[in-house]
Amino acid sequence: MLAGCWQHREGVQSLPIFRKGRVLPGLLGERASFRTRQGVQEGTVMAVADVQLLGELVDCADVAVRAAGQLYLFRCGRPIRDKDVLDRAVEFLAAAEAGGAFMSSGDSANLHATLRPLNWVADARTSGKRRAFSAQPEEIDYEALTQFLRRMQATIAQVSQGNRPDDQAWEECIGFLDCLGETLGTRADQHMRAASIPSSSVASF
Amino acid sequence: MDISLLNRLRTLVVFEVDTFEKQLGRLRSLHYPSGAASSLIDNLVNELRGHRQEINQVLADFPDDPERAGRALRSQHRLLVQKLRYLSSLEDAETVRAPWSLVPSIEWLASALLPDKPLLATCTQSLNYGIRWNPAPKSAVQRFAILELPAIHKTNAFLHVLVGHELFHPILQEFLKSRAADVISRLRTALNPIASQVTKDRFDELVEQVRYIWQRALEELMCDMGCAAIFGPAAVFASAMLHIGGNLDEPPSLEGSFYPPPRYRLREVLRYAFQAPVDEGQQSPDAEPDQSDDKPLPRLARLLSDRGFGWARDVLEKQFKIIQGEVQKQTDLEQVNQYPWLKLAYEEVQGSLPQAWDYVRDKAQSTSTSWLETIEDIPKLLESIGLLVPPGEIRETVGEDSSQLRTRSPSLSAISIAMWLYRLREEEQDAVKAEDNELRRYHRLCRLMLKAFEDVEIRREYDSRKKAAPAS
Repeated sequence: MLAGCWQHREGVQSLPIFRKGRVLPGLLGERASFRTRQGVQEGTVMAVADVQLLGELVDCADVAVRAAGQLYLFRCGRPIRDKDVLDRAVEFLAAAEAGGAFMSSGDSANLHATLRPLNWVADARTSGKRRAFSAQPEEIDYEALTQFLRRMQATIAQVSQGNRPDDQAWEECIGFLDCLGETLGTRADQHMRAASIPSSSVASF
Repeated sequence: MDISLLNRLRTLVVFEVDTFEKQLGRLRSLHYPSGAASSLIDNLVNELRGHRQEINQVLADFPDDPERAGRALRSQHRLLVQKLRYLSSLEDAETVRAPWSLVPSIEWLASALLPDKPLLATCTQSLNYGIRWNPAPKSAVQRFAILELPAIHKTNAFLHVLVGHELFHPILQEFLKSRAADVISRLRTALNPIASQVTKDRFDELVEQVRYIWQRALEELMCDMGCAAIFGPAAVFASAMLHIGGNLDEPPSLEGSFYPPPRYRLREVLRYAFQAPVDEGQQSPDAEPDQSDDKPLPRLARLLSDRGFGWARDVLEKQFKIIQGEVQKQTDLEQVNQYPWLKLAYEEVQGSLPQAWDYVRDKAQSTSTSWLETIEDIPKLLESIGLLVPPGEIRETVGEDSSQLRTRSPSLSAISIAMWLYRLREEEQDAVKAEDNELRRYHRLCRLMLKAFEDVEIRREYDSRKKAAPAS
């Protein structure tokens, strides 16, 4: 029996997968049964390779947290201290935007080597609304998401040049970066911990 | 966040920075086989200073932005925790833990393949050859690549050929990036009808997951091919030795980090790096070996035969025939083709492989690390091994005068291939002998091989110092 990943609230939790008595590697995204302490439950199998991408997660979370801080402090009248982090935030959002444009229209002109930035941004946008234990994943309007990401980049670029955006754009952008930093940071935290487990759990059956 | 909680969080993070610095001080006093560890320690110390400055800045910003101060400190905490692994890597790089006689050779090979990445070679307590690197380094520490060898096989020189596989990982990004957009584009189209039938997951995640399966498979296959481009048949023998410890048909899975099935990996290496027949019906088990000289294996076989090492030619052909027999079974493909996602990902892999092989072969050739460049050395080294002399030096006559001898170092690949051929002959002879005797002979050959690698590096160091020294 192999372990699979159960899509659960803010992150991914490893639990044994049962599907017709065996594990199928091809069932990414399929509905499957999971044995939990509460009994066998239905869920969606999600193979997020975050374990290998921990460094990237920690870095992106840090960029989002620091960029939000810079935007907020500038709004309070403090000078921009870390312009580099704003540039990195724009770079990340541009990669996510290219992914969104591709998913909505198939336009691969600006597509990067991965859709991961899009995945993470979409996670942040939908966090709190999806990932309830048994809820269906929410449909994403990729076109709307792309438009939103363009707006976020424009706001950050404006601040980066020392200009002041309007209050609504400012609120929206800081709120989004806060949410992105929290979502990615929480996911990174989950992967940096290891649960205490017996060295031979089979013996307890 | 309340100021008292923030202060407690600050204590937590500052304590971590402080302890980190003390640990680095202790690690600095250890002995390492090269200067890589000291350099990494220096860079880590510098980065810790940066963390201290960031922490102070967060506290200075607290009156204006109390809400984000906690988040910023938590982020510093995460960045620090991420760096803790460097401490264990430095412990594992100590001379008493690492295969010290091999480290200079590994570093030399790494400097050829990864000129902009300093390498720290370590031995860890897990049965795995691995490398950790940052594809987009933003600091001096992140430029380091950490190579991990399994400590339990520290003296198993025959397996260390697989270092060649690991060193290819960081140099594939350019190729993978150049192909990814087209692959994602095709996957999006191909997955659309399948996804609507069976998945309720988010479509962008599904496309990314399948792209990731493609990338992981291609990475491993390219590294296998890269290792074969450098170490030739030794790469295949070493891979097979490691793979037969598990299920050759193990399908790609999340738990298995989406490694391709070992049988699939061996098949593609034979197909591309050796142009060997690997598909069913391409070659019957009793067929005569292919003698065309432009292919690597026949070329080596003929060379061995011409230089009086018919036994080595027989071993080479027999062992490759055995592995070809294994890869002609299609059991791994049945596993892959059973699932629509895997099938799609692996169709993309197949489409990428011809250019992937060109890419890694060119890397090996452009860095003068291809085994074919020093193929002529192999029979000469077999002579030394036959006398139980470490094959770390080649003696040649100068011009017509047979009494005038000069010596030079062989390549790492020629040493590895010659040692593997000799070992495989012993393996056949030892098959019916006692286990302790067999293991003793295996250890003896490992020592010969490690000594040869060490001799090559001593000679390299001597030559470079001699070249640098002013003429007397």
